[in-house]
Amino acid sequence: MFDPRFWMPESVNALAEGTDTLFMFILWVSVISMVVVCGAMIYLAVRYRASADVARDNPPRDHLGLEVTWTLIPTVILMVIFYWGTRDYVRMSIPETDAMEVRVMGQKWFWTFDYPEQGIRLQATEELDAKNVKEGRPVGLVVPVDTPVRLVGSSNDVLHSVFIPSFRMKKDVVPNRYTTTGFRATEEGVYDLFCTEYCGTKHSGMITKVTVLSQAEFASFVEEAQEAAEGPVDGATLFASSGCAGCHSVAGDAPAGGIGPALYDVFGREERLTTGDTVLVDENYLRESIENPVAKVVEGYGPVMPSYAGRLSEEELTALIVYLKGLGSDKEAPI
Amino acid sequence: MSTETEAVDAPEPSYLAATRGWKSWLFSVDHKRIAIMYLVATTLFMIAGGVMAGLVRIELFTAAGDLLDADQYNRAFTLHGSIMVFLVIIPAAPAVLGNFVLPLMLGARDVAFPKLNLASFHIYMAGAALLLVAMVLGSFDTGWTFYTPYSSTTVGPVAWALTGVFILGFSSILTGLNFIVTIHKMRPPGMTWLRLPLMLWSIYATSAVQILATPVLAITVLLLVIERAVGIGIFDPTLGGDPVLFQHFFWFYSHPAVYIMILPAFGIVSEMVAVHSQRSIFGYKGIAGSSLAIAIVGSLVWGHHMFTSGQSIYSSVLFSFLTFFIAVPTAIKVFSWVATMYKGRIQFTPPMMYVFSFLALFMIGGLTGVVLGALSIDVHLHDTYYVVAHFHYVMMGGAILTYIGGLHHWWPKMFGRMYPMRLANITSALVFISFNLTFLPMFVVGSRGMPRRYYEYLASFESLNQIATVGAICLGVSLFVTLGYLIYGAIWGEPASENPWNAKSLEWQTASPPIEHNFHYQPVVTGTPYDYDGAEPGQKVKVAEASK
Repeated sequence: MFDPRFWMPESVNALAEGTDTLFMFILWVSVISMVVVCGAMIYLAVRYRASADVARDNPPRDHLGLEVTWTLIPTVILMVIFYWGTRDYVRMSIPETDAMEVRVMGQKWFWTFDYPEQGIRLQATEELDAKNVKEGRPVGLVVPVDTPVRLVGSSNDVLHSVFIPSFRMKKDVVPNRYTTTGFRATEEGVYDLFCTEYCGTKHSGMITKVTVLSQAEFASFVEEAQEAAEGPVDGATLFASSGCAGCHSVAGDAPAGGIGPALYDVFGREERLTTGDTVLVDENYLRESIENPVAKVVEGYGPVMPSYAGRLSEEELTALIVYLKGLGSDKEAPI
Repeated sequence: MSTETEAVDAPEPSYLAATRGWKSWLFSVDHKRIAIMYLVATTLFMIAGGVMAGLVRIELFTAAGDLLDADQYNRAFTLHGSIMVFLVIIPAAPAVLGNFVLPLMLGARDVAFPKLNLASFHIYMAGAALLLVAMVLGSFDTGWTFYTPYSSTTVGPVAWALTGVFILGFSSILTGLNFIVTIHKMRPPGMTWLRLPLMLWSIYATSAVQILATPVLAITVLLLVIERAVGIGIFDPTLGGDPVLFQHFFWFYSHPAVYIMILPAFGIVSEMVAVHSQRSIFGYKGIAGSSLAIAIVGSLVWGHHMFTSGQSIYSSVLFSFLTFFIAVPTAIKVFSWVATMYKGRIQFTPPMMYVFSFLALFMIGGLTGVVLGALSIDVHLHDTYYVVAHFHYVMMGGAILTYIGGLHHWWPKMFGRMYPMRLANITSALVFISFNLTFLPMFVVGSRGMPRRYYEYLASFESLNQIATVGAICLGVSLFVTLGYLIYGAIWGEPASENPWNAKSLEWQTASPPIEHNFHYQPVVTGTPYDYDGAEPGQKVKVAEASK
């Protein structure tokens, strides 16, 4: 209990150094306070129990000296804690100037990490993370060790929050504005990243990893990612990496229900909408449903899908629609 | 106790027996009957909220989702929070115990506006009915905090629930207004402000917060309803609104609401610790003054819920400072309660057991609040189970368990009968142990990184969650036993005397249960409500000259 590791995973963020020490300091203050107050309570309860034969003359109704003392001591300790916590918080909140920038985008229910300087985009969906783990590739947010990183966050739908326990770092991402925070990882390794702002059905599934690489490994990782980005666009890969698979099943034997409609053999289907109208699933309906998903929602489902307008290039949109058209049809879709 | 009053007491029926029939209850303007109706209603809602908590805890027994599906889980914790906050904790202590004892402690016949008091109860039931409608219509999954833009976009009867909360607010405001006027205008001759029982000081502070903060909640939920219904952009960014603005509005009410919940508990503890230690309260002025300080400063700390929301660093620093500032009056109270036991004559009665339990649990709740008030640490702990554990220690360990302790204290006055004391003592210990078993592991699992409102979680958090679930089941069983023996006591218990605890305040100086109009004569106060050492004449019912 008096070992910081009992309470928290090891801290690997240079900007959050003081946090654990302060936590342990308050823990000690708390334990001492508990012992003093509860000890006094138990002692008094036993000593002055009704059956005890002890002197009870002139019980004090107040005592200025005592009251001033127990006002001043907590005040002083609390001000120390306030100063300490604030100093560390300000240090965390003002990122270093030469930091590498990563844009974090939250949407239901996956993360997107954009690296404007490197020109690459990493997605952290459940499917893609699993695939990366299987292939032994870095997962989730990938950053170099000993390098200041500035996270600029925003959201594409509701509130989310980036929480990396090992970095003692958390920041909400909010639609229509940017929030910033930063860190400098001190140890290579793989750490948990959670969403901590409630965001609906798969809130608890919106988790991924932070992979801290050595600077050389990071450089080659970036190079590889840049090359891959220049290759041909593949609808099936996009489907997994854009988070579609988190809610839409594509298997032929998918059970009914789920968060989003099943997409097996979707093309050419007549769908009933929440408004009572029906719509024929053609290229234009698919495109509208990707760019403005809440416009025509299929009956039985909620308007929960985030918009992909501006997030997919024309080429990517087309590839995705071609992939969707091919689902359930016997022939391989022509590209 | 003067002998003149006893002679007249005998033939007059108690408030419970004065009139019969359901209408005599549902439309009664008697503050005592209204209190009993609130007692029944809040207890039923507490069971409903408890069942939801049970579902949540059983679901979390394993890391994988199994018992419920994710949407059901989200609705369960939303209902648990909404029911417990809006239907149980906020009304319970003021509306049940406050309603019952406030006029009695003042030696008054009733509150200042008895019909308004009944209206508050009817408004409460109307608001509760709307929340029930929302539950029947498929329920809502926004969390009790209704954060936007999730709450402005999710499907479900959110507007019904919000309207319910809006209406409940009026009940709260009117009750607060009623109590403040009563305390100002209906104190008996001789009851100066510094002879006011501490219970009334804390109800006074609570009422002030209810009147000042609740309208902000009303405006906020109304704006949210308008946004959902008409599509005017206030909080939803796709309509040009600002979601962080909602958080400011929401916590501007909901943080003071924490004090609406805990201040009455401070009053209850003050009464219980003095009466069951059989001595005058230590530091009366310190305790009364700190209640007011908490009510004032507590209205200025809402931003400490938003340290990671993206609000400016300067705001966060200021809110953190004020948060630490509020810990000081709280500490003063705790020290004063413990000091009250010095040279006392301590009775190990169930109310005293709840005082011990409160002091330990509230210390833990308060000290972990200091951890969360520190900016750098809050960044790590915000929205994890550490916060869940912290506010349950304060809200349940502090507010609810003390309210239950208060019921034990005033039960013989309310029903004129005593519950089985030995069983009550044992059960209070079980409640204390199982409470800690439930919520202590949450501090650890939270600081290790488990976020709140998670339907599934990492396997490494499983064993601690299993301890918490076992604890929650024990806690539920203990509380049902408590409910059982309290009901048994009220109906079949040993008849209680007028003043079974040898208390000195006015409510103990009339019959148990009291007659419909509380006192036969206008009481006259000549001392403090905690006169055990004979230094002052004490607070006694005296036959006023006029009525003699």
